[in-house]
Amino acid sequence: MSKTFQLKIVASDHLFYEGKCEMLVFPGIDGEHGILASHQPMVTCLSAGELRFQIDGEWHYAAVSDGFVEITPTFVVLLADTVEKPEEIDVNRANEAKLRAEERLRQKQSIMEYYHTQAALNRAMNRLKITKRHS
Amino acid sequence: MANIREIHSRMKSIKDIMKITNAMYLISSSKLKKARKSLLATQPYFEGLQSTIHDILIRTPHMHQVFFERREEIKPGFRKEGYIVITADKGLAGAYNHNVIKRAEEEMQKSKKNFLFVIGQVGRQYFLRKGVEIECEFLYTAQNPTLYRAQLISETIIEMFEKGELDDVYVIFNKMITPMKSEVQFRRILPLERRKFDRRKEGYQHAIFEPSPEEVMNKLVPNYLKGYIFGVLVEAFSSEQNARMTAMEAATSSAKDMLRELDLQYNRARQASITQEITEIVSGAKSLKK
Repeated sequence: MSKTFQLKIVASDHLFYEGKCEMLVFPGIDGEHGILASHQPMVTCLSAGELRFQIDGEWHYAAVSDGFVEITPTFVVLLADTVEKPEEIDVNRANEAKLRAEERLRQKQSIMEYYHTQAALNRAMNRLKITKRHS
Repeated sequence: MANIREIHSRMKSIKDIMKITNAMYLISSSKLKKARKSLLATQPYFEGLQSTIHDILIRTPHMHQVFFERREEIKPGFRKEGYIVITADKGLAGAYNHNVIKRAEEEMQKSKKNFLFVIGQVGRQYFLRKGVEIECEFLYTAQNPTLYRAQLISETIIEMFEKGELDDVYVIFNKMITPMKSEVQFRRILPLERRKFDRRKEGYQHAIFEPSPEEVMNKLVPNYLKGYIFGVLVEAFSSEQNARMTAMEAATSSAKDMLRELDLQYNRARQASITQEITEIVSGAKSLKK
């Protein structure tokens, strides 16, 4: 059995997971990061994407949105706005959100609005991608 | 002895008001249930957020970053202070609104340049009536807090802070300590405090920041503020419902007390008038006999 570390995944509306974990892969701002036990202390940000973590050799998947991660050799804390299992995702809602965002992108917007819409589109597409991949 | 009709109409009006307070009690108790559920669900995030940020700040190497700027060259009294004041949308919640507003006014004495960001109708109306300048476009309700609203709020604040329109930002809100007791909280959210001394004492090592400390902080701080404001909104909403529930419960029970007393008075007055009538009839009959 490989070395494990304490993993805590907290979403803004619930505690998603707390316990031992062998490996964690999360989407950072500059690509995916893989974390094993005894990683050096690190702080980094999450962007919307797919989160994977391995417990007892089995991979678990989740869709995450913006947040940040604190990594120390013994434990990892991951805080995100939303964390959802593939089966929890509402495909219709994500589809609607995607259409809505695309519609808004075609219109003239301020830079702030543009970023918002882009982030929303990103989240929706990420949700759809993950349900497609794991169903 | 009070007039029978007077007492009767008084009782009726008390009964009518009691109906209102009782209904509000029921409404707020059901809302409280919902608010408490979301509070419980958010609490791990809120607490995790604060302890993680604390941890991260200990490990942060020194850097020049706008969120840490203390702007000490600006003397107290001339600093542009921003206050996010969280009140309710409605009154009838006991001292809930009053406490927050009082605290805000106390703090506002300290500086000449105050910027008020008021959430909730009661606070907004109060400051408008007093002629205090408040940010007009900052229109958010205190009901059912969402992450999206928290994001809009934190973006406004951060933008003003970055431009130098604000030097310090505080939040003032009610926190429920126990269901019976709530306390006004006053916290500074910007600039962030770096605890240099803690770091040296505990021998913490610097963590690495991927891709770079500045970039991480640029994303992390807005995210942290968003989460923090969300947590505060949820906390305040739940505290509001609780305050209203206890206030309405007290109002209903004191209405019941008043009714009991008035009932007694009413019966006494009625009895007195009956007795008087009988005496009149008897004495009338007596005089006829003679």
